[in-house]
Amino acid sequence: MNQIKTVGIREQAAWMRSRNPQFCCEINGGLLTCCGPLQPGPMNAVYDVVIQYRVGTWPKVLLPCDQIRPLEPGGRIPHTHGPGRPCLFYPSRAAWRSDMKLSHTIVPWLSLWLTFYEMWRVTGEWYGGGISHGEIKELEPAA
Amino acid sequence: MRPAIIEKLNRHMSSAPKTEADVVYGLVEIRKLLEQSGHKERFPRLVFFCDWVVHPWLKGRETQNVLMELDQRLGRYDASRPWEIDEDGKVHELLSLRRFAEELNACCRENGIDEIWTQDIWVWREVSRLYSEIVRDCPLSMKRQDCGFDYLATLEIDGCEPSDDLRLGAWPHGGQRNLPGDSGEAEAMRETELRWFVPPGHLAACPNSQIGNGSIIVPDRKLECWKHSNPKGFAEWFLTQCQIRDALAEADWVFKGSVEPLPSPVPSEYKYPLQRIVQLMKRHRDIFFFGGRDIARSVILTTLAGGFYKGQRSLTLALESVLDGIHAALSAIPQVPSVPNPVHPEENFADTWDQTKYEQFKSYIENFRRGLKAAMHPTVLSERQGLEKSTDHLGELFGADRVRDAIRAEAAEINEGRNSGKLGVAVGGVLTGMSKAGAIPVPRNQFFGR
Repeated sequence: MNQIKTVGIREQAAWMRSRNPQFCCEINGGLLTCCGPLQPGPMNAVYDVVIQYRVGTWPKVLLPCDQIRPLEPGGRIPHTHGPGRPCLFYPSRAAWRSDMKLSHTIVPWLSLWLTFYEMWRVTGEWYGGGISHGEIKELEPAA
Repeated sequence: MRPAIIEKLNRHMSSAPKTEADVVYGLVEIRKLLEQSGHKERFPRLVFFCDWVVHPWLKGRETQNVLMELDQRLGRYDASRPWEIDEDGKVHELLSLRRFAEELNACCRENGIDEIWTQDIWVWREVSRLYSEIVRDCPLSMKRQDCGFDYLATLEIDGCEPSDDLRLGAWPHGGQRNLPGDSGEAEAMRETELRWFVPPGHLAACPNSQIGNGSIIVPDRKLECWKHSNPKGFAEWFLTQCQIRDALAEADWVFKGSVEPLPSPVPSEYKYPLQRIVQLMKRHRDIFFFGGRDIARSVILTTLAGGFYKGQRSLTLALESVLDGIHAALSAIPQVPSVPNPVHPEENFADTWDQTKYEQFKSYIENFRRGLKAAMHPTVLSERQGLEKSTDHLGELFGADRVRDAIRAEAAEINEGRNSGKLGVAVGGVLTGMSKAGAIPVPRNQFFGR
């Protein structure tokens, strides 16, 4: 059985600072918190994002202060857990593991999600694909 | 000899023709009869139609008369308003098969030929149809001597169909007027006429070796005068402009490490930024003028865009630069300027402008420039709204439907990049192509959630 090589929390922070120098990253009690602006492309808005991660859990992504909004009051935004919380990957070991780098997975997926979100705001259509909650096959903690 | 021809024609024309060959044979014999009887001068249109079926290049006097009269009228031809060519019906009279039928009928009666071709309107319709098929591949050409240069006009026959005009009872030579008058018969009683067309520009093709350098003289339909032109040279000039490369822009591209945008799905025929700039200017022209193209003619847009293009590779930067250049130039000229053909300065593309049209053109440029800048350089507030705010501006410039289509196309390309591993992310989290230095691939994922 192949053992995965978990990326330590300090290494995750170093990769995040290297790939996203605009982020402010802190480690507090084993919890990595990265905050900062993210703009997926020149035509897109600039978003203030928060990414949190503790080894052994799923990374969390937050877009605070109603930066993302439904098309109408009370409506839903596609592929979100709740207000300001985009769902970037299907929570399975195949989708994300602790040997993956946040800077190489979560950040690009967040840029991608924001791109499709803005397209959805204009056209009302979600072009990014994905899996809905009704199709859950596996839910387990990250290794 | 004559009685033999008449006997043959009596037999041949006593029944409806079934093939093109039947019509050709009948008209050839009629033509021989006219030649022998010496009555050609009395049936000029019949001679013309008889000649046409056997001579692809007619040069006779009557042919030239026909074409000359047509050409006088075609000089005012507007492809978008074809009916204006024949307001008084003279062209119809000229080319209508009615006159053909009248003269054929008179000729046969005079020579004692008992025929059915012109006596029965049903049979005549079949004669007309077959005739049009025969001459369809035989365009008529004429040269004019009164233009001071070589002038070649061509007339092509497109087909034969019932005329829209009902002329019940007007069948001129006592044919079967006693056909039942119900609606079905009325439909059948419609006269047929040649449906002819002149390809736009075809009539105007008049190379003039005296001008040289590929220049030609063409008729201006609206101004009713002759104008100098050089379309081939203009096309070559535009291609040269398309291939300009801004050395500074290239250097900036390479050394500053700016983010390379995602490649756009550009049809190969519009591969140069300048070509796409002209397309966008035309698109906004159609929106701004509600489809009217008179004020911002394509050739004016092409000339101005080509003149102010500096070779930028970025479409948006190039478009902004072109609009800035045009705006600055027009702002300095209060009176109506000329827009000369860059390869043939005698030709002024803006010769239809008056002060009002010029001001409207300036408004169009200013509106385009302002909208583009709003989309490209959003305020702090609109920056927070991203694509949504940009598309508002772009929708005003190019139409909301087109913007939505563009977004769908962009999404499809992003997804193709995701699936093929060609989509990358640069330092800072900006999505880009994998060719960008420092880009890492965006791994596959499945968005989740409701």
